[in-house]
Amino acid sequence: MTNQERNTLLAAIDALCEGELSAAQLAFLEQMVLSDSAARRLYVEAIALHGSLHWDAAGAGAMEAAVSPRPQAVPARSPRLRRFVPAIAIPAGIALLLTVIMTGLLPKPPVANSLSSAPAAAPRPDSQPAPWTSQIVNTTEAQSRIAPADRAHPIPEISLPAIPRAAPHEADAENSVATQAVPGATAGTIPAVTPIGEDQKLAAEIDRLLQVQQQDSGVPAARTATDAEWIRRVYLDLAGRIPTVDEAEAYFHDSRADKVLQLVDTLLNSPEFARQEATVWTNLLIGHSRTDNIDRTALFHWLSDQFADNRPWRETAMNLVAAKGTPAEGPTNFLLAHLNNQAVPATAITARIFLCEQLQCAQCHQHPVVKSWDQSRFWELNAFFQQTKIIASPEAGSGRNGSSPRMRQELVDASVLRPTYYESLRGVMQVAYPRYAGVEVQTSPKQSLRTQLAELMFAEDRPQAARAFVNRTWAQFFQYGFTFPLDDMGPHTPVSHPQLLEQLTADFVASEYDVRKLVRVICLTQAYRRSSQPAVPALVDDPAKGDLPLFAHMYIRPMTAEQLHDSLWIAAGISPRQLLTAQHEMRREDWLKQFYRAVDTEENSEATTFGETLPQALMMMNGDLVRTATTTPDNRLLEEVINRHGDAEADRIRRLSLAALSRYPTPEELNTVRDALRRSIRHRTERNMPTQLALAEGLKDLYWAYLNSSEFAISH
Amino acid sequence: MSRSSTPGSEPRISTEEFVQLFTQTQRSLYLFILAQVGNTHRAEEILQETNLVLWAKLGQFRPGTDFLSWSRQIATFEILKSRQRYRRERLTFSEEFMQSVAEEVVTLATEEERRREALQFCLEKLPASDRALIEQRYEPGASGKDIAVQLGRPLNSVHQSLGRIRRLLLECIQRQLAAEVGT
Repeated sequence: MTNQERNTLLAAIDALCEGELSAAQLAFLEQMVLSDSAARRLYVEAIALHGSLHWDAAGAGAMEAAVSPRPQAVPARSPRLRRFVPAIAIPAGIALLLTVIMTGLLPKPPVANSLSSAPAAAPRPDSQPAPWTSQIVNTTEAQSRIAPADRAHPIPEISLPAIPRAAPHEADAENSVATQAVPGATAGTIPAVTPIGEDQKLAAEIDRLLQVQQQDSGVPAARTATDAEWIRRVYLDLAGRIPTVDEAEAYFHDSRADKVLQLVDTLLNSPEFARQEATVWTNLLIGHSRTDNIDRTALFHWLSDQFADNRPWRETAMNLVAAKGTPAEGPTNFLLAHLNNQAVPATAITARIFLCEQLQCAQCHQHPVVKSWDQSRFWELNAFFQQTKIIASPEAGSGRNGSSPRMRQELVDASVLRPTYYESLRGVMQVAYPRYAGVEVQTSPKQSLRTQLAELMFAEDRPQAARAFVNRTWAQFFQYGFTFPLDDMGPHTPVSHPQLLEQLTADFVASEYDVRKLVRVICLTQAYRRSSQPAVPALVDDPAKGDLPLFAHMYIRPMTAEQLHDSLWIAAGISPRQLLTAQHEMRREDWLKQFYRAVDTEENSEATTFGETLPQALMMMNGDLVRTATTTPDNRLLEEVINRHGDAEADRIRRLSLAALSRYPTPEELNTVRDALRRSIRHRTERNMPTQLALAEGLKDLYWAYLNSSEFAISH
Repeated sequence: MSRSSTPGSEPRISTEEFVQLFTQTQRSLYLFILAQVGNTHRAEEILQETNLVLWAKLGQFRPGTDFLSWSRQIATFEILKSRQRYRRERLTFSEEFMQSVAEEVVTLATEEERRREALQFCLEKLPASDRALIEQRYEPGASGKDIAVQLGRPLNSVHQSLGRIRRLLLECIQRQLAAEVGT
């Protein structure tokens, strides 16, 4: 291929990309590709680039596009979504535009629009059985991430895989975790509870500091969230799931003045809170996908116990850094997972997780921005891990019958230390001895290097570890932390609320790293109770676009994979207690595997397809779990709604809305949904289906639409 | 969407596993189709058709075999069907061309993940104005024409700029991959 041929070829490919390929160019392109392997390669590379840009933009770009208000408000679906929707909605036939699902979240004018347009669009004289289509107004990021639901009618009656179901008496129990003191939380061992007043004072101080910044930026704070908005949020954050129908109703009817405080405390003391925190931290520490040589469950249970007993964060973190022993012991799994590659991942991840410092760039060269972070900083931290080895020995009792013995991993510290050698940019070998924050450390028979590191990291005059935990915890409740990125708190990263961060950090250290107290204070702030609708939609900070967050309204968050899983089970009518069983834990692990896979990089990272429109939508539309939730008698709640004789349609709809979205439908929604339900019943009875059965099928379809609505899969 | 009616005795993939394989391979499959048809809209359309067939044949997939190869076979068939449908169009690639390109795509597919990363890196390296232009061009639904109107620039010059940037990216990706091999 001559240079000129190459240029002509590239020009032809450009024309192809822009849809302007001439016949002559086509002929040239074909001839080159068929006759010259380099040209063939070039063509494939160039067209792959074009396709990648197109494909990736459809994923990421669609999200950005949805954030900025679009002129055409109604369903601007991402191409990625368009791509597969027809694959699902085969027998099209639209009976209902369930335009209503998100209206509760929208600023007023769009609501009015979408609703007024709904009746106009809905009554199409359709001749087919009636599936449900929920058409969702596409205005928020979270919405666009989650598929609108086009349902291919109706889920065929298929034999379900044997999903372990509750023993009847268990599922039947009306016992909500919220309304009773849960044992298990080892109430006796909770360190002296601070008087209520103090935490509330702190919360008020936080609000004051936030308000100063909001006023400076001229952004008014949003209204207080409704009971329905708040209860869903607080359950998702503290219990990792949506509230049950009973829990929601109990809260709505609770007339105590301090019911917010009561609910926060009940949830904080429940084993579900420990489980939720353990979930978050297990994922941070070892991810979802790494399983070689480690016992994920043991780490999870250990963390659960630490949070249930409200052990100080300092203790938990130091244990993780300094742990020794076998995987079964729990905390050892953190390093067992990351000691590969000369402990490079362990070094980078320890700094990132516990200190929110991104040292990994300093591995090969001076930090690009923070000039004081040079290579030695990385390798001196790395040297602390060089004493540690994983040894494998045959497990006692295994391998007897001629089979190869199972190996047991163990994390041990050698008595001698070999320093770390690394190559500097100029190619000179350098040596690094364990040194942290200027303190050089010697090997000692009494204390391992990692124990000494843990103490240095959590020394009283070094609050960075506490600051990092505060930042992470805040982000758990508000979607954004005080820095962006959350885990890069180096001197080069601006802090949105420096004074607030310092205040919270100081209080956290003063409280002896009391996790529950920190969470309690955060949950008691006004900021945490703000609605997700900005007071003035035009005046809104958008951290997703790089604005420093003002926390003037609640940022909408997509549920995590775990929250979604557990919430679907709750929506499927099981009792919250069942979420705490080992059996459920296994079920959840299995389910999560579909979204995660390990990626071999030096940071031991992993890739997830969760949150991407396509996989999540497929799971929601076709997955076994959603099928269980919309099938009777698997879903006892649904069955009960269907079988309650004499109930008005409106009551049934209200109950389903509450079960899925933790709120009652608005009057407009109710009208639209009821009309659609009636139409669907009529369609079926016209085909000689008994009325009771037609009602049941209609309600199942409705519930499916609720679960597939954008609103279900977000926390707002 | 109905489940396959294969007898229960045969090994069958679970929906979850299927979804996982399915989602992991969508991008590769799309690139495979696009190289052979040259038009993003057509490629999407064929991908849709292919997906329909994949779902319908879910029960025929044997766990443990290569899912992507299986999908490619089905896609190849769908490409031919689409070609039939559009045969009256003025410009279509010859079957010979498509086959030769398909083979090349399969060879190149082993590098796909690295190429994707390299592209990310190279996009970040672009001068801001170039990057903005590329983003505008590949925003869902956008075309070179829209940008020309938006920027008030002649269409020709916009296309030239896009061509130049694509070339920059292409070369940058090649360098990146070569560097990786070198180290």
